[in-house]
Amino acid sequence: MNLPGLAARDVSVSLGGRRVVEGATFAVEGGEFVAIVGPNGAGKTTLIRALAGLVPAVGEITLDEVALSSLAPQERARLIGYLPQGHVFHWPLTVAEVVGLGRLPHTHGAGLGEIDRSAVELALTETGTAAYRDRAVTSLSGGERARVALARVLATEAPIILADEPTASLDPHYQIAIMAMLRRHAEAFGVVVAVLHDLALAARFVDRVLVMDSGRIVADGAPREVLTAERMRTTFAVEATVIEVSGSPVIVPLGLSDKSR
Amino acid sequence: MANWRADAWLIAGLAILVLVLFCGSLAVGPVVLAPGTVVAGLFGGGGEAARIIVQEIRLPRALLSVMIGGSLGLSGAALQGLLRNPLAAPDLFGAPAAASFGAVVAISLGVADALSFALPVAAIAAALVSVALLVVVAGPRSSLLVVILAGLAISSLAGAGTALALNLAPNPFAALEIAFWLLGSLEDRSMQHVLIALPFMAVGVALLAWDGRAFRALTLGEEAAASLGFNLARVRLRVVSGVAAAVGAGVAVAGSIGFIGLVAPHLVRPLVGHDPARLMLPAALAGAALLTAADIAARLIPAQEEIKVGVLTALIGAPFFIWLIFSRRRDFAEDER
Repeated sequence: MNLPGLAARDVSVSLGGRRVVEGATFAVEGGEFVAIVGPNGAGKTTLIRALAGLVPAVGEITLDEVALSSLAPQERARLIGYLPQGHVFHWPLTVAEVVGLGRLPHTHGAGLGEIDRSAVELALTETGTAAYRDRAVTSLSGGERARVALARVLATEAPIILADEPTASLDPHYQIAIMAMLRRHAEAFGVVVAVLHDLALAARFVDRVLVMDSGRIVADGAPREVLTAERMRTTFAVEATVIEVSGSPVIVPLGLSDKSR
Repeated sequence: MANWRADAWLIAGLAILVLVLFCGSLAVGPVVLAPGTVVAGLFGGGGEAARIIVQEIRLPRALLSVMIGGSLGLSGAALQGLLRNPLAAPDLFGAPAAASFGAVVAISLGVADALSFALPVAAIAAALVSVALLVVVAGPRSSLLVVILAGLAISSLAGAGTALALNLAPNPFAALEIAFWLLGSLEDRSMQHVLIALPFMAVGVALLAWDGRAFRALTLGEEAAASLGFNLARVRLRVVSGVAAAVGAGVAVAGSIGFIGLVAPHLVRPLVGHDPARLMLPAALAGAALLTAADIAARLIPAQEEIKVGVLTALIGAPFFIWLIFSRRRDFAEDER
C-alpha cells in the first residue's frame, strides 16, 4: 500500500524581516515518523507551521506530489492535522465537543454524522480520554488537556500529522503511550512529523531525526547516526556520552561544553 | 443530537418571550388603551387616535427595540466568539461611542438631519474604524488586558471627539439636542427610523450570522482554527463590518444604548453549553427581549421626564459588568500568567 508522503524543497520563512528558516530540504516517505529536534530558537516551530501552511514560506512544499499552496484551506485541513504548542481551550466545552472540532474539515452544517461520531469515539479511546468525555475541558489537568488536544487532531483522520511538542507536560506513562500512538498513526495512515525536546524518547520511537540549528537543517538521519556526542557538542553545546539501551541511543548529558552558547 | 433539541426549546422559549414583550410594548404608554383597542389600532381600526398611537408611536418603538436589541446581542456573541473573550461586547470597545461621534459630527456639520441616510452612514463608518482599530491593536493573541485597554482608549477618543462637537455646537439648543440624543432613547421614533436602520442592520446581521463554525474552532486558538481550514482574516473582516453595520445603524436611530451586547450573550451562554456557535441566535433573542423589557420599564418608571432607555440599560448593565469581573477574577489572573 502506498501511503502519502511529504516533501520540502528549499523552504525558507521570514518573520518580521528575519530569516527564521533557511533552505530546508527533506522528504518524509509515507509510513515514516520523523522528529525535529534542536536548541531553543532554532526554527523548529516555524518550520512545522510552514509545513502546515500556516505561515507564508518560499520554496516548495508538496504532499504526495501536490503543492501545498494549491490546496483550498478545507482540503488542506483534511490532509494535515496540526497540533500547536500549549493546548489552550478558550471556552469550557465538553471533552467530546472539543474532540468533535477535529471533524470540522469534514462537515458543512452544525452537527456530526455517523462517521464523524465514530471518528470522535476512536480518538477518545486511543488517547485514554473517553472517561471524561462529558467534563468541561477547562477543568482538566495539563496532561489531560494535552491528550484531549491530540485526540482532536486524531479525530480529523488526516494522513499527515504535524505536532509541536506533543509530549510536553505529559507524565512518563502518557509520553510513551502518545509516542506509540503517533508511530502507529504513521505506519497505518501516512506521516507524522513532531517537534520533540526529549531526545531519548525521540530515539526510541522515530524513524528519522532532523536536527535544526539557527534556521537550518544540519543533520538528517536515523537516530543512532544523528544523535552523537559530537552533534550534542556542536549543536546543543552540551558535553554528553551516548549509551545504547535496547538498540536505541540514549544521550546522557555530562555538562555544558566549553564553547557554551 | 440532544443538544439541538434543547436548543430548539430554548430558541422557541426566547422567541415567545420576545413576542410577549413586543405585545407589551404596544400596550404600554401614557395613554391607557384596552387590549382590544390596541389590536384594533394596530390593524387600522378603533378610531383615529388609537390608530395613530399604536401604529405610528408604539409600533416603531417596539420594532426598533427588537431590532436594536437583537443586533446588539448578536454583535456581542460574535465579538466574544472572535476574541474568545466573554467581556468583548461592542459597547466596552468603543463601537457605539465611535458611532455616536460619527453621527454627532454629521449632525453638527449640518450634513444630516435626524431623518436621513447620511446619519447611519456616518455612524457606521465611525463604528467600522473603531472596531477595526480594536482588532488591529489587540493583535492575533488578543490578550484580555490589551483588548480592554485598547477599547478604553478608543472609547475615550470617540468621547473626546463628541465632547468637542458639543463644545463647538452653534447654539445651546443644538447642544442640548445632541446631548439628549446621546443618552439613547426609543421615544418618539417613527417608521422612517425603522426603514433607515433596517437595511444596514440586515446586512450586519447577515455578516455576523455567517461564522458560527469558525467561532467554535477558535475555542482552540487562532493557529488551530486556521489549521482546521478557516480563513481567519476573512472571518475578522466579516465580524468587524457586521458589528459596525449593526451597532452603527442602531446608534444612528436611537443613540447609544449600552451593555445589551455584554449581558445578553452572558445570560444564555450556560444554556447552550458555552458553545460559541449555538450561542448566536439565543443571544440575539435575549438581546431583543432585554431591550424591549428595558424600554417598557423606562415608560413605567414614574418620573417627571421619561427615563431614557440608554440610561436604564447602563444603570443595570454596569453593575452587572462589575459583578462579572468580580466572579471571574481568578480566571483573569490565570489569563495574564
